[in-house]
Amino acid sequence: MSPCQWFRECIFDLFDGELDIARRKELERHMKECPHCASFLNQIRILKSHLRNLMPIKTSDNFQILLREKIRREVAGKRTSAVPSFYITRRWVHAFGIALIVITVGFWVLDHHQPIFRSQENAFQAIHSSSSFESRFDGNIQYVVGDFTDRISISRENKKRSTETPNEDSLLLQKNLEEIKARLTPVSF
Amino acid sequence: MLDKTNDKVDKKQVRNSPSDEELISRFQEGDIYAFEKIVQRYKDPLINFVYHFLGDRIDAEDVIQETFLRVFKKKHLYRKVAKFSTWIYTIASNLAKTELRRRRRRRILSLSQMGYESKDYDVPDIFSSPERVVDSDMKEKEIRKEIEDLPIKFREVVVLRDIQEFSYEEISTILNIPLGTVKSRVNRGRLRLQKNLRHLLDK
Repeated sequence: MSPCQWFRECIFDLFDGELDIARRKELERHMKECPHCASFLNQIRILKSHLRNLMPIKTSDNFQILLREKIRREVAGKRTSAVPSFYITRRWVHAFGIALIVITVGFWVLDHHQPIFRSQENAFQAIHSSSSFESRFDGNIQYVVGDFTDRISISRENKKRSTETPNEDSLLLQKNLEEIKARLTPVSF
Repeated sequence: MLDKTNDKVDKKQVRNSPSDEELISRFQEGDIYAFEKIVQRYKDPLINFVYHFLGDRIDAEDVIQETFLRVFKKKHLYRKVAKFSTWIYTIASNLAKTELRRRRRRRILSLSQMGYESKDYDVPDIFSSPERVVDSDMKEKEIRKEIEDLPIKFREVVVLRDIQEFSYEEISTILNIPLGTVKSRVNRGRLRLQKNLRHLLDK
């Protein structure tokens, strides 16, 4: 590091009073030898003095009046905030109610329509496989079903059965189900 | 002799006047008069700080009002572990930075909204006149402009150190940056100013 570089690095420590006596003396010695560094020190000194003596900016005369007005509005807003918060709560209750209805309807639709799609798909497969009685192995277990009852009707009957006391019809249905299960025959693996 | 007695009175008044920490603690207990005192004590130093950020007095005043409003609303958040001055300056500095960001966004928006025909626009340069350095008022304006042109990271530390005369430790707390970074930024900021204002400093 050249003496001038060292000087420029130390100069701010000198201003901040963080320079020890030995370094300070070295700086002074260098300053006497180098006019550039002496001029640099002088410029920094003037700059600091300019910055310190910049005309202070003052707030406008009505600053405190405006501030008081803002604070007054703030306090008044807090006092009246009870009504809006009530509305906010009511709005949240409405939103929550609507969300609950949407979720319930959604679950109902899923519960009642998915089996239909699945059963239609199954029935379609079943019809095709039962009509030809020829099924190609595609890696999945395949079943040959003769007469396949619609799955949704089975599920409905199951639900009915769970709520009703067993009667002749339900017993008959149970028998039908057992028959269907018996007819499911794995043909290939 | 008279000056000496005045000095004594001033010193007595300073000794008798409550510290910032005492005032805020009184305000926390509900003394509005203490808040008024805080406003009186800090409004001018704060506007001098924020003005150098924004370069606009009205905007600076708005920021200071918002700062005091925050102090009013969030007085319970002040803890005695920190100096009150660093706390209020931190609030002001954060608000000033937010205002700067908002301005930058607005400027980008207004430039992007400018049509093809309106591309020729002049940015007035009041400092390009030949007689600029003659007047001391103009000199001050030039110094202020150079401060405003400094990158924000240098500007904030130079203002706090050389205009507001905070210690490095206090600046480090206000801006939440390490002490070494504060020192190096102050020095780099000063060097930039010295380089750009050389023509004024040689006189």
